[in-house]
Amino acid sequence: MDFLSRFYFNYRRIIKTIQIYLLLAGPGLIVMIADNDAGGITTYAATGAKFGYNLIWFLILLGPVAYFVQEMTVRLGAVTKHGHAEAIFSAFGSFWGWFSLLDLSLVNWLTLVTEFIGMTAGLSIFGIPPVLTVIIVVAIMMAIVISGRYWTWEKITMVLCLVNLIYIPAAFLVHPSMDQVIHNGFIPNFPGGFNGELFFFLMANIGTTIAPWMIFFQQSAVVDKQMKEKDIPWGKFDTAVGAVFTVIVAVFIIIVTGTLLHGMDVESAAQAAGIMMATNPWVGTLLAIGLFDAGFLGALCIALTSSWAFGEVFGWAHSLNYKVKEAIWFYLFYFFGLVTAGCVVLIPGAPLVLITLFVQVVAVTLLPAALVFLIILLNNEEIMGKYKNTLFDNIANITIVTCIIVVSSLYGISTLFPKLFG
Amino acid sequence: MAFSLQNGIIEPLKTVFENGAAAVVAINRKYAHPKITMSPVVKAALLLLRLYLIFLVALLAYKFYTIVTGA
Repeated sequence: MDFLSRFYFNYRRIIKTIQIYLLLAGPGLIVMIADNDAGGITTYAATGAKFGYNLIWFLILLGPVAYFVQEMTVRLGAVTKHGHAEAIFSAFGSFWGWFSLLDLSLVNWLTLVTEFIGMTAGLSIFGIPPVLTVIIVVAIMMAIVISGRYWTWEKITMVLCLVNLIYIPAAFLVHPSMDQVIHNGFIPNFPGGFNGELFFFLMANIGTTIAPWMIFFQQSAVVDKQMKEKDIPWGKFDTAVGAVFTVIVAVFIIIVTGTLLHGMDVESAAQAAGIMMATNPWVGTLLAIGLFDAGFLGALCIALTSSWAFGEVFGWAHSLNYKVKEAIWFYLFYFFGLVTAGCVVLIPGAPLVLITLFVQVVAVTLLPAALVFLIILLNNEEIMGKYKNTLFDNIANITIVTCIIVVSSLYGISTLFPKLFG
Repeated sequence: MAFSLQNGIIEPLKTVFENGAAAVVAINRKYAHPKITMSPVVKAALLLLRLYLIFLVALLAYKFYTIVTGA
């Protein structure tokens, strides 16, 4: 009897904990899974095709890196109740504020274009013309946000996050050798020695782990969700769960392309899906659906990030809890970003490859500034009070931020000068 | 009523730009002074960021020069 009552008590406690988590989950999970956007999927697919399972260990290391950076935005948002754009304006003045806001808008818009490239490429495998993809995507994205409730948007987006897990069944369909996955993937190694090409791939993977929009997005989402200081532990847990999922998805993509395309030079996830359609139609289909979903999720979050940032600075009503007529500029900005980025993809002969490369270069002009501002703000006792960085936080965060700045800068520079690393 | 270019397009656009400019001026006034304490560490970090951005702009300008001249 005593055993039964204890079992029931623990069962109720676990159910209650899960219910509270599902209530507070969202920003961390969404930002981390949306991080595996069209560009991210392409990077992982190319990495798996080039190096097989050998760099899985490296991707696992990137999970904590993403967590430590994004966790800071949870605390900053919950304590200040301001988004990152507004926080920069307020703390560092208008020069750094305008620089961050305008640079963010540019890099976000360029990234949006790459998301549309991914979505149109993903659906073109099924014979759907790009123009139809763009029209449908923009219509659905408008429908998702106009409910006038942050909660509704968040739960729909979390369902889309579940689709991102499609790479897991895809990996089981290709029947990888578990022995090889464990032996080659989980023991740190540099396949073929540490050379320029390997370094480029390592940089690309780090570059996709933390993007400027992620910092602005999560902080704004925490504010829009009206999270308070007492919710910080749940926000951190949510971010940690998201980091685990983002790594799991990346690892399974590597397993898929590492099994079927090992030794090939893959330039895009759409190309990988196209090749697989000929030999493994089910896997190719799952990869194409996953690519579309990744682009969709990325575009949804990135377009919102710009709207939130402009709304915060210009003082517009800027919450998903407002109806369209109550926050007309917020929704117009969101719609304008989506439509213009979608239209670029439809222009015949548009320099899409150049845009994809240019994203990396523009991103490295903003990422270091956004990260440094984050660290400075998190160390300010007047702003953060008892939630400021501890010594351990600072050691971990400053080390990670320094590494990200150095590597992402080298990646951006190597995009400008491709022969730099051999 | 005939469509007038002045009333139909130019005037509304003028109003939008005037309102936009006024909003930018108001934002600049609101955030004229940084609220964060400018300790030596913060000053050094901001200086390094400026130098980093100048370096990146110089690299972009050099890349642009090599593309234009074919060097």
